[in-house]
Amino acid sequence: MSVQIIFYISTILFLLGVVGLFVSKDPVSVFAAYQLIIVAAIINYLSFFVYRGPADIWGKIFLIMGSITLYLLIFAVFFYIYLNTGIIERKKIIRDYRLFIPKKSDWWGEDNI
Amino acid sequence: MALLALAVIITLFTSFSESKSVKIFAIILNTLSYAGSLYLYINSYLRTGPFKDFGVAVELRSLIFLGIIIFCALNVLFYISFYRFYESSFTRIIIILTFTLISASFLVIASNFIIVFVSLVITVFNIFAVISSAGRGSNESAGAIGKFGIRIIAAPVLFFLGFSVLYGSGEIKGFLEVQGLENTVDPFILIGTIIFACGLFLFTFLYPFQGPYLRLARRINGETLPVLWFLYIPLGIIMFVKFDVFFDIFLKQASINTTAIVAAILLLSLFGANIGAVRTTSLKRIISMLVLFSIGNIIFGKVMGPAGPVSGAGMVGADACGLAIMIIGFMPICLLMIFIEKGAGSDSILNLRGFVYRKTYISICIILVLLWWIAASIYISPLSALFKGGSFNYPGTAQTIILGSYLAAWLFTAFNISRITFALFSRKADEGASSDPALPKVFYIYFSIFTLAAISTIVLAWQGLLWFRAS
Repeated sequence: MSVQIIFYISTILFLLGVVGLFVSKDPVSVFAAYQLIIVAAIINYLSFFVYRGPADIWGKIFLIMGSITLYLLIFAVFFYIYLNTGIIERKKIIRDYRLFIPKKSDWWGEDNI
Repeated sequence: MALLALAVIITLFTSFSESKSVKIFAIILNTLSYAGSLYLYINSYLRTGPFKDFGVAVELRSLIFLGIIIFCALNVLFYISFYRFYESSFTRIIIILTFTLISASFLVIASNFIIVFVSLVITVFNIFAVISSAGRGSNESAGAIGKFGIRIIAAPVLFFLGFSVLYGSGEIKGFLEVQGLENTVDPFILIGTIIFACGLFLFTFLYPFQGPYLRLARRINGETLPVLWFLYIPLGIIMFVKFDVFFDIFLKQASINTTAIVAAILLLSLFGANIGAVRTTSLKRIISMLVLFSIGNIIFGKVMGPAGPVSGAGMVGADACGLAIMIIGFMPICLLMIFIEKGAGSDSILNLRGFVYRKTYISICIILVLLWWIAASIYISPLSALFKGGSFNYPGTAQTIILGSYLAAWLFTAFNISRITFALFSRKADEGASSDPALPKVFYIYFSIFTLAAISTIVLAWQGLLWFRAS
């Protein structure tokens, strides 16, 4: 399989992830959408590893360290959401965690709490 | 950074103590470590000069940004120390703040992409930790912080993807390798640049993706907002400046229409921020939107390009100056907002009515700083170059439309600033209305410092002693 085809596959995964971010409501779906984008990036790295040969250490170090720190951040955010969501609320889909929620108050007028 | 790390380690030993003297010791220790680290950065730069190696690149520009970040962190430390001193989580917040400064310092001087990405993610993590520790005021704020957290993940994820695409283009491991690639036409570099631009766009919450940022600003404690305005947002500009070389490559190879489209997207931020601020009475929302306007203004000036001959020092200065102007202009009004919120229980602009009759000196300082902010921002913006007879390389109609829209956005900004000024001068507070709490003496010193800094830049510019110039 050529690098070009693998790049197209990772692009499709990335686009699926972006669509997921726009339409997902609950945190788990948002997390899954982010995973699709991260997997697309990892596929890119792995395919370019094969293309560039085994001697290139820099890319492997970037992949490992980048993945660890990125997942640390994702874990922190979702753990915070989990800790601050009551048990009753976890059972029903009342919180909208879509990445982009169009609301009139973001553009005009007051944002009443 | 060793000094900051030492401060963190020592403060860790004090984190379980609720004693007032121990907390004061932690504040003094961290303040001295921030100031000491800035002194050491400047001293080592003066001794050794610019320094570049595989991992880091220390030059004048990065030194300026280090100074800005440390100055912002000192102010955030001041706000948190003043308003959160008696809380049990106070020392923990100080430790996380110092960690944030360490990782932000690495981000500023990093030139290898591994260090850039790792320090970016850790800085974002630390900022989220500070906001979640210090900003929680109600159940509504917990939800807003969670949604803000989900949004701030997007930028590092996109950067991760962008670096993966860039990896395929060749031996690009850091900014040093990108320097000589201005004339290359590599699709991987162009795609990576677009992904970085999207990541930075989401990072800085420019319109139309400003929702979680504005909702968070409305719901968290006022003393935590400086973390968002003066640490998180400036890092976006610093990242934008670091990735300058990629955007230069892209803009050189992009057609004039692409650049016009980018300028139009940024104009949406400039307009949207001001129009949104017109209709709201919440000081937090007004200042949040004006911060977005400032960020959009800085990036807009870069996209439009120089309107005439400009030296390298001038272009380096324009980004840093825009950031410094935003910080000096908004820090006093931020403190005023916190003071009003704590005293009146809400951050409504209506609580400013008659403030000039109650606290005349502070009101005069605020008005002077806000007027300076407008004048200084226009001075370093593309408008200033046009007033001096420069022109941009755009077709006449496009230039007229874009710059006319830009001027209109500035008129809206002037209207928003005048709203705050008129609120200060409005009728005196009614009898029986609650009066402001006593203003601490240190606040007078604080406002005076910023007012003097603002006025001194006018004097220095008039004497021709400021080394940066408008393009």
